[in-house]
Amino acid sequence: MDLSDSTLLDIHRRMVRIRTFETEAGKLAEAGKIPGALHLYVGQEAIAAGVMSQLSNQDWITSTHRGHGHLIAKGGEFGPMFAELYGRATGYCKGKGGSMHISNMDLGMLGANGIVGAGPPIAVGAAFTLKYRESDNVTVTFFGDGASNEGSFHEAANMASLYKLPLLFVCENNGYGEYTPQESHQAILDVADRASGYGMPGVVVDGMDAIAVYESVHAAIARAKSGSGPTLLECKTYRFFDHVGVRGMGLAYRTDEELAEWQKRDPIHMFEARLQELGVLSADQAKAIHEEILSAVQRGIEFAESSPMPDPATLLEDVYA
Amino acid sequence: MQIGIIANPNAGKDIRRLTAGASVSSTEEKVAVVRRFLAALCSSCCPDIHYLDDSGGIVRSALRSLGIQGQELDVQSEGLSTDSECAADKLRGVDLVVSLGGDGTNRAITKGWRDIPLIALSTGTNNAWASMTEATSAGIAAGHIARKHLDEQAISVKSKVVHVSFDDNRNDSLALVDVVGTHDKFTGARAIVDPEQYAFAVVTQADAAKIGMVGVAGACMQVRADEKRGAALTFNVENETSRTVRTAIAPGLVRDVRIVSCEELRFNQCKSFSGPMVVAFDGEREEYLAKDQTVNCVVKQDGPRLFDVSATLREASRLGLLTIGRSREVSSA
Repeated sequence: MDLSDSTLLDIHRRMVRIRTFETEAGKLAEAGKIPGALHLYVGQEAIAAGVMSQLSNQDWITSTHRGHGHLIAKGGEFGPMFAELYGRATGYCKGKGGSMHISNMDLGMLGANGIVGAGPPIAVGAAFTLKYRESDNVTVTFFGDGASNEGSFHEAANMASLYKLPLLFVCENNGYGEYTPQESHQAILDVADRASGYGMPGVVVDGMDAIAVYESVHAAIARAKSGSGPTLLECKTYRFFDHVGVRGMGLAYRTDEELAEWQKRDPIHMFEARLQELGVLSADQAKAIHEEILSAVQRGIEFAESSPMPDPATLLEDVYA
Repeated sequence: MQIGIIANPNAGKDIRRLTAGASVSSTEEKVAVVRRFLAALCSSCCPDIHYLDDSGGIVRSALRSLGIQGQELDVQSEGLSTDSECAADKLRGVDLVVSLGGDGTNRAITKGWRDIPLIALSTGTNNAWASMTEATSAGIAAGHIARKHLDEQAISVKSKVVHVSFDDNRNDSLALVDVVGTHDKFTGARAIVDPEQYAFAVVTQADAAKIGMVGVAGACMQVRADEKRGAALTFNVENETSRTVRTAIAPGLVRDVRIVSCEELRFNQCKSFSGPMVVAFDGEREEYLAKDQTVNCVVKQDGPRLFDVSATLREASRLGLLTIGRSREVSSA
């Protein structure tokens, strides 16, 4: 696949925006400045960037409890994102959603979700809407290896395939359902194997390689837009931070050696190295991009910290059910 | 009698399920294949089984379900192609190895033990080398092969290998079927799906009945697996196309391919190609070649001894080795 330099730089920028935001958010969480639990996306950036670089605001996504990366890659601004994490009135959900319920309909981000496996059924409804309206857009639902054990995933996969909906099931398999290793919660090696049970293709993808993700998503979108129905893409990946926060609760459920092995395949480092070989991005240009994005993140934090808390009188506003 | 088993859980799961409609080979199906192989093998002999405890637990599951004891190789399985390579290296000296995978899996195995004695059961995608063979038949054949009471020349082929070297300090490499240079910028999803990106190919076989680059070459010439030669092709040079062939570049994917040249490559004759390009081995993009870098390809016949299950069983039948107890002539009247 012949990708233009601008597409490559766009993928790179989306990954760096996620990494920088999440790294700084992690510091704030550890310092006790952000309330609640943060599930950070560091290590998994290639997936969000590889997917979202091919979507428009009219394409919809459903996210997970680890959803900041999805919204950033979909075009989310740092200011209202940090404000939401801080619970401020200027946040994307007016400070009432927080990390695990952040959403923005204008960007086509139908919501992070604190319930494991709750996204796929919502995505089926969204994809059905697109098909009903004869739209040329697609829906993407992100979920994890643990969520693929939930009935909600299986029901959604069945309906999506039955109705040949324009839907991509993107499983971000980071090897752990919270703190439980995959081999302890499911009897299969590859979640992609589940696709054949619902009559759709299932593909295993290197989730640390943004171009491997891009190429697979490109093919799945083409299939969806041709009316052939959904695809299950299982992206093998790893979370560099703990399940919650950066260091988490210090549980010994994985080893430092395992983490170090995966960090050797850091998606941003690998991509930058290749872009430099191709002459698309110099080391100095990469450094400038990182610095520019860090400045933008810091402005976003300042925006959040200077924003007001929601007025208690608005507590029951924007409640749907 | 010692038999090794290497199963690749990653085989048959890449993007070609999507771009080409290639068959899916689930981990559970691979367990079933190994079960069938073992059940047939152990019906007539009790070999020592040495196996890679692959990341999918394929062989372990099959052994356990049949109540067969096997000896696990001392390999830390990481779900990478190096698992198969390390396992093959550890298996040196056994009578026969059985592999489950595609051409890529068998390439990894060959990197670990170049002249390995092998039955290759296809669970991959493009399989110019591994054959679609029923595992039960392979299990019966394996017993006869490991006993070494059949003429090896009659039931096996000494495989060819493309030896690959680079003009920098990276390690040499090899391929069993093809080395392909493409104009892609990235290794990405590994599989080669766009013939417009082809730059060159060196193949050990050319056969119009096969899928992938072997089939592309086969549209121009024929080179059998046992012939002492290979072929080299170049593609897609503007205004220099000598012919366009319509052929299956992957299962379910028939495309027009613009060929500039297709010529015989004698043993030990070196073909060199310069970058920039991505170099693929047995169907998977793997190495980057910069503008000033060169890759050198030489075909030799020093690869695995690949056993033919059908030929083995026919030979065993001819010698009366499939008859139990005292035989008596069967009249056709």
